[in-house]
Amino acid sequence: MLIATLMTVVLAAAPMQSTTNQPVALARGGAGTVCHCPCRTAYCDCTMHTETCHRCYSVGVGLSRPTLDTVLGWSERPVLEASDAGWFQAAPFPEIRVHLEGAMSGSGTVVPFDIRFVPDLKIASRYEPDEKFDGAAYAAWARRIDRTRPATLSVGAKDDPATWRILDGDPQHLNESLEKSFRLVRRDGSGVEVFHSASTLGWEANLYLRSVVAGIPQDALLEDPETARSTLLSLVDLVDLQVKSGDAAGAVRSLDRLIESAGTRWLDSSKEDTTGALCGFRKIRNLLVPGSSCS
Amino acid sequence: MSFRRGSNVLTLVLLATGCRPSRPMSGGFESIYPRAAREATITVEGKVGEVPVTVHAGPPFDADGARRFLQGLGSYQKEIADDYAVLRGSLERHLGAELMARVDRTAVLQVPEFPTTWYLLGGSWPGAIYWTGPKGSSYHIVRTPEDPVLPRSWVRYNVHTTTHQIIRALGIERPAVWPRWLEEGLAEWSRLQFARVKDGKWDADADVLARLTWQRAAVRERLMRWKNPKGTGYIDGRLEPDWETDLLYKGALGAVLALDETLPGGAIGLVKEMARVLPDERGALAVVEGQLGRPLQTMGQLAPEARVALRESLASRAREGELPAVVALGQFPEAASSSAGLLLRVTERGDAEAVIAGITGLRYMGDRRLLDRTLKDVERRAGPDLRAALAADNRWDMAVAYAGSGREGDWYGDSAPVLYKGTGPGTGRPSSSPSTSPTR
Repeated sequence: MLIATLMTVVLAAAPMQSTTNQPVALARGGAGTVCHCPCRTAYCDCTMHTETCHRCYSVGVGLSRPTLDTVLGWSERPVLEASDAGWFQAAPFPEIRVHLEGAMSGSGTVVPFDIRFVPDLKIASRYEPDEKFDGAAYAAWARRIDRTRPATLSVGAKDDPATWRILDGDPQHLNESLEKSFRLVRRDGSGVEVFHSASTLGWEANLYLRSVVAGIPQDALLEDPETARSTLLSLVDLVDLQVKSGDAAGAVRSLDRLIESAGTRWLDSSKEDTTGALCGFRKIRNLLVPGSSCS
Repeated sequence: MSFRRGSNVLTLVLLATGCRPSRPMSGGFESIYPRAAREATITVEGKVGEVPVTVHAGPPFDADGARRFLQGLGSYQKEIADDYAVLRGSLERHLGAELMARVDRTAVLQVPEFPTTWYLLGGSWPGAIYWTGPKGSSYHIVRTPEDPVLPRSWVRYNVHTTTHQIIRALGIERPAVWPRWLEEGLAEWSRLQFARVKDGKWDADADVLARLTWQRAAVRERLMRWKNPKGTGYIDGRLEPDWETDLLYKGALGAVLALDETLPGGAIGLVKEMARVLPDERGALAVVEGQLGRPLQTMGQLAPEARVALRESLASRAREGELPAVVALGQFPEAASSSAGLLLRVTERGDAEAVIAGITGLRYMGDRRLLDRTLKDVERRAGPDLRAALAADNRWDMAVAYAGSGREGDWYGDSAPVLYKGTGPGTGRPSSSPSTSPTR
């Protein structure tokens, strides 16, 4: 159940720090980093993405009563099943972290419960709790929660845009919903949807690019840092507007310009973060022109 | 202009929607009710869920048709309930329990009672423009064979107005009154988000147009002067020229889209902060700029080179016949001389949508005299079918109204008047609920 909830909201990203400059992780998240969180839009969503988004992890999202009832009343070991729009494909999340908070009956004290899900090695698209999960402890925690009081769920997952694919190659899909869904499934195969995201792939891509730019530390920016960052963001905006207006070829040209100007003018090539940022830009280019990733 | 006054259906819909929020509006049904009562002589009864429902049907529908209609009303009822569930679920998730409690002091998210009397009508029913009739009843008109035999949920058309009401409800002791640009921008943003969830697709054309509109300095300046009435909290869009507010709605949406993208907490985070501090209109800007860390006017602006690249991109799309790109080109007044020829060529195409796109682009460009000449050219060339199609389109009306406004040159010039006009009690002007969604 936690699971459920888990997805219910936002898969924002738990901050997962990369130890390399390979920006699967563009693993930002240091002090002062601007966080672009995908879980903030009105009717959304938070797809699982963004390793930069730990603020969501700490803030969480309110659970509706039906979802809370589902989560707290789930009697089986929680198993999550994921799905996307038929035209989209992405690699499984290496892990999904769920953080639940609820108020205890009587005292009202807010008590958290954390679960970490990992891919089910036997069944694609499924996730199961890791070995640390204690079903009895969870059941005890769930029994103590006052369902009439607000409860929150925060979710973190690392999503790597390098693995994103538009299966039929049609860039029109960029403006279509990813229809990302997570269901809590029972042993008999039945399930309950606990998370649904209608965010578009283009929105996710733009969010990622903005996160990349926001995550570049000041000391990696050349000339006037504010000018450098705003110029890069302006190019990201250009890519976004070209994608939205249906000009995928123009967007690729603008991404090339972004990569070129970042690499030759605005970013310090001696910095590790520069490599990471350029790789992040290329990952989105790879979405439009497969085979052009940085890896 | 000879086809200046067609049936400005959308405007009427706006008025109707604005007068009675949260439920579909009557659009002159009372005046046509006697005819409906005469012609809808077939009556069938049944239940939709647990609600007893009577259907009165007229030609070409027979009893079987009326019965099938009644049986299908369950899906209509479910679609409306589902739409409300989407609205509520989204708000619950993002506003949190405390703010939701404020919203729930009102009836804004309550699913309206299902009408118990239905009129199923066919053919022409002039004046009937919306879905409800006398209290407790509703009607559905199938004008052409292509029309759906069952009504579709109207909730999407109400999201803009509903958002106004939700914002007002966030006030603790009195309605929250935020700057008009922010309130209208959030209402439009909310409308687009709802459509995305319902349709599985983002209205990217609206997004691009809005972002470009916000980038015009004159629009931003005028948005900041767009007053929101206090006290009653009522906004009356009827007293504002459509051609003018059309751009302001789009600019406001562009501002909120840019805020959503720029602020760490997005647009929702801003709403929460505004609800927390409840500033008046003056204080609101400080809250917004406090979150931004810089002047609002600097947000969402493309660098000059990026703007040139985008214009070239749109021009390329426009040359390929993409009408949304044609419209968007109008938001580059700095390149009017290079874009005008392309827009004029589009207006020379025979179909109404192309003509509308071309003149809308010209209207956005702001050269009233060029627009006026173009409208006259279109009129001169148009056959009866094109004239009828244009006359029924409020975007044509907006172009005509702007061209005839007497303003010289660019609308965005200094001569433009202050937009706010007081309404409501004591002003001598009628008031309505918060303004409704802009047209297209």
